[in-house]
Amino acid sequence: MNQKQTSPWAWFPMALLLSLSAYIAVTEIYSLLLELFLFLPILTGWLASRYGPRTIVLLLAIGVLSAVWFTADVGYLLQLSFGAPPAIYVMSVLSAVAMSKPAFPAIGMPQFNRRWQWLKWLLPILLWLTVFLRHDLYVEFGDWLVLGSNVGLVLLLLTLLASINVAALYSKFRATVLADDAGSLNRSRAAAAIVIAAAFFFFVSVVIDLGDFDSELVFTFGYDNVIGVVIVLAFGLVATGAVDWRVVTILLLLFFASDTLVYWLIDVASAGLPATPTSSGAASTTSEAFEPVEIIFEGSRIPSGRLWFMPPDGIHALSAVLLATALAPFWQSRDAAAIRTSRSTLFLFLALAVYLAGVAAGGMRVGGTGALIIGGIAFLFGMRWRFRGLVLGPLIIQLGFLVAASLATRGHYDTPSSLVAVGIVAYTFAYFGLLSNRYAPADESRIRPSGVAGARQ
Amino acid sequence: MTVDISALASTVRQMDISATLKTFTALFAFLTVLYFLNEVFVSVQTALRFDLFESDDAVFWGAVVATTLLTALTPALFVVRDWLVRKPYRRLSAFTGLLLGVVGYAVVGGALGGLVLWTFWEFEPDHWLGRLAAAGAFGVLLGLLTTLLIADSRRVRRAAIGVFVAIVALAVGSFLFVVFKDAEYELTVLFEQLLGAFAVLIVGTLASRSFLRVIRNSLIRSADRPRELLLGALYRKGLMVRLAYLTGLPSSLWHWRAIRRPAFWAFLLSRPGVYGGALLLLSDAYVSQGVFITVAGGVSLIVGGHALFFAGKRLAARYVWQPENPDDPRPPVLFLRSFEDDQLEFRRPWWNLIGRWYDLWSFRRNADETMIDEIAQYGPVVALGMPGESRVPFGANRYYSTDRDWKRIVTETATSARAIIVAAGNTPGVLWEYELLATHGLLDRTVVLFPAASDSNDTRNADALAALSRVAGISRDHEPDESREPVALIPVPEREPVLLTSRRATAAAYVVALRAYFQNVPPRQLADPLVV
Repeated sequence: MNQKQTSPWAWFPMALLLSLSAYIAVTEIYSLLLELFLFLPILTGWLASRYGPRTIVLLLAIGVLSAVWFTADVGYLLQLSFGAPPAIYVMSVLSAVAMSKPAFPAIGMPQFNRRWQWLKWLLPILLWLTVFLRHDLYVEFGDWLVLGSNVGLVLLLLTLLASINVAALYSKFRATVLADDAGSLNRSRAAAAIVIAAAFFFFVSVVIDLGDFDSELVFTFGYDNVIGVVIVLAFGLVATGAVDWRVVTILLLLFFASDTLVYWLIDVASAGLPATPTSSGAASTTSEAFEPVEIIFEGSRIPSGRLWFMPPDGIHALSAVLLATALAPFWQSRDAAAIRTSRSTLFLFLALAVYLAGVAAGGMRVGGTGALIIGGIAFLFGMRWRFRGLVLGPLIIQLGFLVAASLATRGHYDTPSSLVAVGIVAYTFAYFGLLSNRYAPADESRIRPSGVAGARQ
Repeated sequence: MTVDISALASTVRQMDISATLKTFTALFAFLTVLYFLNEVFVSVQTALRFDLFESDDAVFWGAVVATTLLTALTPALFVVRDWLVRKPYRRLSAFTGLLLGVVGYAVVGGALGGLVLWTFWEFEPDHWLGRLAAAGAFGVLLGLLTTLLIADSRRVRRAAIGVFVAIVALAVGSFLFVVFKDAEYELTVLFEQLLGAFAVLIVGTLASRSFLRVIRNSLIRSADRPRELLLGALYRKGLMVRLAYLTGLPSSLWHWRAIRRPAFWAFLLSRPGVYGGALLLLSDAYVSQGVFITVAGGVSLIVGGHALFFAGKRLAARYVWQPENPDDPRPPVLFLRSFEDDQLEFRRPWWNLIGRWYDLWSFRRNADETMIDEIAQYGPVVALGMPGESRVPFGANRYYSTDRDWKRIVTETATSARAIIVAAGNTPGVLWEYELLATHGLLDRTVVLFPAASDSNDTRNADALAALSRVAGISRDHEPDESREPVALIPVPEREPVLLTSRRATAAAYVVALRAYFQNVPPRQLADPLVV
């Protein structure tokens, strides 16, 4: 099929289909969770390999799906849902980047406006507010509508909008995706880009809950929690070599410890007052409600656990840093051979060990940020050990998960579903990792020049 | 330039075996389809009678149409599948491998999870010792898999597997000890259960292996490499060629005129004979026909199939080459070698009986018959016969020249040949042939095959490289790695010739070399199929 004659938009209905999921109670004990969104990274990876950077437009549209969550109880035994968790969306974007050959990174990192550059120092504080103080503004309209907003997120997005050179980013986007001349971008187009970005930010920062809140029919729009940003940010900073992994690790530890510390200080300051129900720290609300899935299936899921003061997302962030350290040589050189070192191997298994420690502590949910870590580890397995990594990598992650689940003190009834999800995500990304070897420079050691010359007459 | 084709040769070997096995079923599948169509015909008649038509005639003709349609479509599916596999749908292959693996690992995850549920259900889930024991058991397996993954040394990987087998044996031994100690079970029941578990283990292992092979092949097909390098070329496309390929005929018989040759029918019927015999032995025919008749019938069919195959080779070898009056107008492919390497035998371990059997049925015992199977479709493969030979071997069409005219025949044929295949050697005759090829400027259509060295003192290949360097300017300091054997030197258009090497000079390595030349494959695409 001619690429020029077809459009990636033809695949949007497929993306909608893959946003469906179903929970089926087979018996009182056994249940089946069908999460088609786990296949979304496969679709975006394949589209990126086929259409290249033109897939970005479709990825933006799929991004809207990650802000949507709709669920309906169909009787006692069946629950249907629509939407994709933000972490899965991030994975979809990453798989598209991995499969597009080195075309996506041409867009590059956003640049800060010189005049507003000082604003970037506010970003960590706003990120803290966004992650740890979520339920600070909401309005109930009767029993069927709740409008809420994460003030931290609004401030964060406004600051980003002011400090980032949106026009330059848009210009690069057009040059890469639409092959437009970057220099032809005029003021009106730049202004339009800023307005569109602002409108998008506004919509995603307003959370709308609509429906019957006894879980029979609920529609949710907007990002309730953006802790995934912390994970992706930590990963990006280390993988690109912008900040040393040790610095990022310490910052992460401080970041998550500060939540407990701040609450403890508040607790001390308000000594004598009645204890609040959330005495375990604000982060517990974060970990319970990071994804719409966890809200919707609250009754049927194992709640996330904590490892000392670290919530599961914090453990995932630490694991992401270790993973980024292992992956950094490839990320920076685009050469798969660069990660075939003992150091990369060591950090890869450290990342897996930290992730599994989180699982043992009770964070067994795979469909969220855990999928990011599993996917990243499997990607490295596939790239580093090729077919051996593809075959053994997913099995190792699954068995590691089993070891962790065996040590966990909670129940094990969710283990089969989790292991199925682990298998799907791990294999998919190990496969992408193996294929990414083909984008590396030719391995000259296998085709080496020799002294055979001039045989042809 | 040197290219290591070990990995590609291994892949081609697997695909060769797969294609060979399919050839046994190809014709038989047609007969099986006919049998089942009879059943379908009866069923359709019954269904039509009850559901759609009241007239018996309408029922009959409706069934005829449905059955005819199925008859026409079913054999075509074999051809269509082969046609589809040969199409360069790289993304489809990649996507197939991806989806198959996703489903496979989802099933593995579900099974492992179910195992955990069962374990904890059976053995007190809340007891910390039970949890620790389960974690320990899974941990041992995890350690083994991790070792298999990260160890680059094959020796270490084998040792890890050995340790694993020892642990499993210990576990089984302990289990048996406990069972025998209690003596609550009937021994026969226990034996049956153990046998069943063993059978499940073997079937599971074989199924997993096949599954991984399918994924691997999907991955390989998704790479930038001509499919025909992996599967073999079909130079002249057409239904006859495709059917002949699927039924395992050598490419010298891939044309309609071959139907008139007895060798065609001998080859065609030999494989269904062997397959039918194997089916009979594995069937439950002994219940109705008795053990003796079933075994005798099955063995007779298998032996008869082999005899027919050998007869086909003998019949095919009857056709001689007449240089002065060729019956095939196409430029020939000339096979030059010393008579010491008359057929250029491929080396294989004596104990590998299954491998030898595959080689027999896929025409991979020597270069001579491999050329008939692979490249006779491009033009008649011809060679000078060994003087005094009483039985013409199956391979290139021979011409038995005299001492006076052999050089003239070789010179005239070489200059008009489509390609020249030379078995490297150091005899005076072969050295003269090198001179001839160099002086007539024929090296750009010459493939030199290096025979597998018989021992460390065998200097044929080194002498051949030295002679080639003398007559054609190939540098003498060029030699493959000590761990690699030279397989072939192939010319590359507009570039230097490429020396193909392999860990072992297997039949598949020579097949890759021949395909690479005749399909004009760039050297880059001959490297590890999972990388490029």
